[in-house]
Amino acid sequence: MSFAQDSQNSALGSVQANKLGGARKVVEPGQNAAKRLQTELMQLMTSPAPGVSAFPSADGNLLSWRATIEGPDDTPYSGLTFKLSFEFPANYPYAPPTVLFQTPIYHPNVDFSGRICLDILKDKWTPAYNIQTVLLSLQSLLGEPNNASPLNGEAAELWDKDPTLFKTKVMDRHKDVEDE
Amino acid sequence: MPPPNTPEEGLTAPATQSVYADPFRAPSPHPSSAIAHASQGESCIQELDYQSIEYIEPVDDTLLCPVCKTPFHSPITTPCGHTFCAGCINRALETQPTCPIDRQPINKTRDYHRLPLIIKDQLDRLKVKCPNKGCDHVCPREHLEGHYERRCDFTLVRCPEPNCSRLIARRDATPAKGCLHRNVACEFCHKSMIFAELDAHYDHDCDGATTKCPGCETDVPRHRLGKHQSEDCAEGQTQCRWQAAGCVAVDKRWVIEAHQSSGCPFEVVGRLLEQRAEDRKIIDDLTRRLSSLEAARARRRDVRERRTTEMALINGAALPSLMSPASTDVPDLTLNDNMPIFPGATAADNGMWSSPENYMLAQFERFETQMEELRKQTRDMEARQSINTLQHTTLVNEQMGELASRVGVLNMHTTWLMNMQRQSHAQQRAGGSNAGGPPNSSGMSHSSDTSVSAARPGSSSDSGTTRYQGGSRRNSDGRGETLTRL
Ligand SMILES: [Zn+2]
Ligand SMILES: [Zn+2]
Ligand SMILES: [Zn+2]
Ligand SMILES: [Zn+2]
Ligand SMILES: [Zn+2]
Ligand SMILES: [Zn+2]
Ligand SMILES: [Zn+2]
Repeated sequence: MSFAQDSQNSALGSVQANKLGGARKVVEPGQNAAKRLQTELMQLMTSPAPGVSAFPSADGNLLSWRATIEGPDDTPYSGLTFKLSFEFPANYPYAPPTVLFQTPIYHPNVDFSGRICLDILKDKWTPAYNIQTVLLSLQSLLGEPNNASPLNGEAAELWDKDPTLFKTKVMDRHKDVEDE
Repeated sequence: MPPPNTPEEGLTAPATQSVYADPFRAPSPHPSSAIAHASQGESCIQELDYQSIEYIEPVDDTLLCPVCKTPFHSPITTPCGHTFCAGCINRALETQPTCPIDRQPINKTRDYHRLPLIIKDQLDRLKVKCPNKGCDHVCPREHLEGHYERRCDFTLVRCPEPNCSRLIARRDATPAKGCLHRNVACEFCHKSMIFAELDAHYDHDCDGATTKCPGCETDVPRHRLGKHQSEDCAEGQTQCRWQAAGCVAVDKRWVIEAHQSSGCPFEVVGRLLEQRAEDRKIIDDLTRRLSSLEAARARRRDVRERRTTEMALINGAALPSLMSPASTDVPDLTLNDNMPIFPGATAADNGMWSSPENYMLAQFERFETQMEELRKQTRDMEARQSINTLQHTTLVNEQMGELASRVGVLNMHTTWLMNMQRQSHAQQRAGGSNAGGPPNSSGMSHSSDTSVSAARPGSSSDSGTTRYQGGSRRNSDGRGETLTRL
């Protein structure tokens, strides 16, 4: 039986279900997102990746997470830890989460309110990404900024021109924030 | 790379919204289910949600959909070779017509391939629990849909009352019971609920609804009665704690308690049995750990044996006739591997090893000495092997030398014969011109005489002949040498 036949049969089935007087109720949006996030939480706890971590925020809302990234060695961010917030849409993973740096960071692709310019969080998002892969991508973005489309033009310029000054600006900007 | 959108641009692309408009275009994998309802006359309203099923055993990573991260449900494979639940990939394609893994373009449904049946079988066999609250049914996944949609008492179906649009568990959906959706308040705790849930409330969480214990006549919450009778009630029937040791006393709890505290005759045996059970547990644990160790060692031995055979094969192929005597003095690599490591339960029982750790430590030491011994033997064998090889190489070299000298001899024979022939031709031609006719018998014998004399050592100055003589001598010397050596 081919797949096409399969879908035809199911169309037939749903017609009959309608005749029976009740269109089948579907899972409400958000429920699947929560399930998938639960699965991810399990995975993050059983096999954590080094240098990144994430956990649902304290209020018990599974659609809102807090995460941390450790600055990679051999980058200006080495030894620093950055807090981030993840807000998941109800149709996650079909749409990307909104990710913001909570810790102030001096980086070519992050603006001063913590918004991030990363293609996989925008048009290059696919539902196969997850929290862990996003965090690892962000971690590597720290070491390899995309200076072609900067949110912080000064940082993009200094990255190549004056690494020492860049490092100073990174240290000036970095300060620990409390979880709200 | 196209410049990414700036964060200000919202995440609510029109394509994303369309997902909401028509969220479930995913084909149902079991088209027969709807028809089955028709025959039963009741329709299960809520479709079985495969993503919320609880799997009893851990599922292999390879069977998880990359989108929903749960075991595949009616999976398909894309032309680029990636597998997804049909529902998941269809929904993903509504946003973006590319593969979520490698972004290869995908033409919905037309490009899909079916999965090998072996994968389907694996998925079908996964043990799952019925997702309905109150139902403990566990079955292979392929049977869950049938259970959920047709048999499970807890599946929500339409209320039998035609004017009521709410759902009710199948076991309560009988015309006789009518609509159970009217709101009531619990008479004990005044919590508000629908009539259908009242019984469950009394039995499971109402602390106000009490009932008299038939034994001790005290009031206990209804939902705790069972626990009270089996654990607390002084009038409840119970058995002596040492029943397993042979005590047959069964009486009211307060009688039995007195019996136990005044000294049950079976207490000594009972305590011994308990001790034994504990020992047994330790022994089992040790056996398990040891068998895994032994398995690891067997694997190592396999590898070692394979290497030994490979070595023997290589040697055998190179020197088939000379290898056989050498192979007998290959050391016995099996050592005492076949001796069981675990000395049996006795060692643990008589306290030979004060703790599992000590026992394991002793085993490790044993392993280490064995390893050391093996290492030494391997080194010995390597040395012996290289000596063997050296000897064989020398022999082969000598044989080669002999062969070369024989070729030289043959060469000389040929040269000599050709010289002979040339000479006899020349004589024939000379004789023919002198006699002016065919050579007679005496002429022939004469020519053969000369050829014989030419072959006699020293009688001719022909260099070819001299070399032949020398070669011949060398040849016989060489053969003698070879023979004595062999
Ligand atoms: Zn692909
Ligand atoms: Zn899936
Ligand atoms: Zn069930
Ligand atoms: Zn009703
Ligand atoms: Zn109550
Ligand atoms: Zn009682
Ligand atoms: Zn007793």
